[in-house]
Amino acid sequence: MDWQSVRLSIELATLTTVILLALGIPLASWLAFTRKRWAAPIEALVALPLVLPPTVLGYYLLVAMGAQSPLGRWWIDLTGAPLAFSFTGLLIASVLYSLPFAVQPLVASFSAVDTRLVEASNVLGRRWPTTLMRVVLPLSRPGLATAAVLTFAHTIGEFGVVLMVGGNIPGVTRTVSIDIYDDVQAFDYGAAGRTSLALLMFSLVVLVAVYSLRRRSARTWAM
Amino acid sequence: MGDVNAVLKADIRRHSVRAEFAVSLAPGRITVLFGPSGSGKSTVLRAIAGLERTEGGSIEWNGNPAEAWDDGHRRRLPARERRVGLLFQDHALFPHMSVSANVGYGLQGLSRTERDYRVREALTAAAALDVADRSRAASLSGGEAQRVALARALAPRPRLLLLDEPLSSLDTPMRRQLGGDLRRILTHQAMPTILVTHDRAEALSIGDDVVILIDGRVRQSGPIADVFDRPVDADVARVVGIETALQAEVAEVSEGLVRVRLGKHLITGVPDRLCPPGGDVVVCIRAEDVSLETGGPRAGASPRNHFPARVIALHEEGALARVELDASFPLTSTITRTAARELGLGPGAEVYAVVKTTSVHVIAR
Repeated sequence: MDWQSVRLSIELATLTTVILLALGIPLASWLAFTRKRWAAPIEALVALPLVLPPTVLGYYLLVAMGAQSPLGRWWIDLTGAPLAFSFTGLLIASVLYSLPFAVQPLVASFSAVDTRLVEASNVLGRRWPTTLMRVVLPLSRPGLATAAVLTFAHTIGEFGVVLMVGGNIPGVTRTVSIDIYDDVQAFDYGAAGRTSLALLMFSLVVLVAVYSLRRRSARTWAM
Repeated sequence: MGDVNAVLKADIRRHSVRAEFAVSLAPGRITVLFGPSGSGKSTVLRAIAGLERTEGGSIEWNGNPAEAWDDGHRRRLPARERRVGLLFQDHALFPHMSVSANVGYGLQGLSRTERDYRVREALTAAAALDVADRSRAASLSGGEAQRVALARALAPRPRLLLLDEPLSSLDTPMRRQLGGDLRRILTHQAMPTILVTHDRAEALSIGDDVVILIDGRVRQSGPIADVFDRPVDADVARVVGIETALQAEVAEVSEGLVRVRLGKHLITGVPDRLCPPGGDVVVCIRAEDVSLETGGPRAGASPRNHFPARVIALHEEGALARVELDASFPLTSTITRTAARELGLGPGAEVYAVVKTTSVHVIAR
């Protein structure tokens, strides 16, 4: 197994998870509790990566990050290096691609929190951030764990977007899934098989963890 | 309405509720919002707390439009700034927090010592000190949770306390015990209380004033004993639990008593104020004031109201039986089950209904 790509995948997945929880919690809390009508299109936008072919998302991201685009030019002016085919570019792509995997479990578990608890906090003089931190999040722990685990696992497994945006640069953008693709291209079925088996086992363990969490959460606050 | 030293005016137009009423804000004064389920009581309470919009109505504190909590348009004070205490119907305690964390939740910007003091003060006031050390609110029984929720509402010393059906989630023995305690607790507070209920016994045992809400409209308000004894119309009479409340016309007036025509009979009753012949009135008769017998009128008996009736239905409720009668007008009687058996009552049985004149309340409209 190519340990360099394993380390890179884990780094990418960890950062993606941390960023997505930081962005996903406020976004999901807004989606779960707002009565605004334009929440529906926002929710649809968040879910888009679920149905879009990774190549489509990758294509748009590649164009947006390219040296011709305002974002790409701004990034080059700022750092002196292009955004496309860089680790940062890959990270941005991963965050967008895994967005629904973080936001949807969060919205589901926030929505399951009794509205009257949120109202009680409000009447007791607390602002929304306090209500979120002290009431909503503690009662959504299983949902938080599910969101984190799913985001991490989904990032480890992504392929199309990585190939489009990151290319295949060892140590920079070459993740485990790209590694398997490379091995097969080079007719090294032994290496591809070992890495595939490792990823298969990893994914299975992750899903068992998610479903166990979900079962436990159903019992925790059932009073 | 008692010592009115400040007034809360609420005009709510949401969910076809259009209720406008004033509430006395004397410390310890308890106003009951009373009405059948679906009458809009809880909506009104939630609008006062800031959890519902008034939709063009308004909520004024101290009768001052400049101090509007909600003017129905631009100005709407957020719930967190209204400084009201709200006791939810099923308590809504934070299940993951300890009892003291729940009670202290609304206390902001206080030192630890001051906070602990206020938590104990509130728990003492709500008679919940015995569960102060519970580490999980989720482990409390219904009655304990209710007291802790009351302590949580009292702790920030709100200027108004709002109670939404506080006893409805408890079982009957607990309800009876807590009802009396609740009144004792509330009358000792520095703030007034608005309590929502559809339970007559609860309203009478806890409230000072009452606002009767039917189908989203205020139909009557005033001191609770007055309203429950002298409902303004047949709807209010039925809602406050007077089983027979019928519209009628005054036939004749003599010696301070009135005779009204109900069905084929002339019924004698006591008017609440002078009503001229031909005037519209509501005749109110409580079921427990209607007795039944099998024989005809006896000479020298004091009741003037003595008329034949046919039993339509018989409902047994504990030791009592509620008898629905057709006396050429609908009439309800409550007698003991023993008496019902001795009279051989059953659907179709012919009896005589007897009502003392003083038990027939005639309300001029």
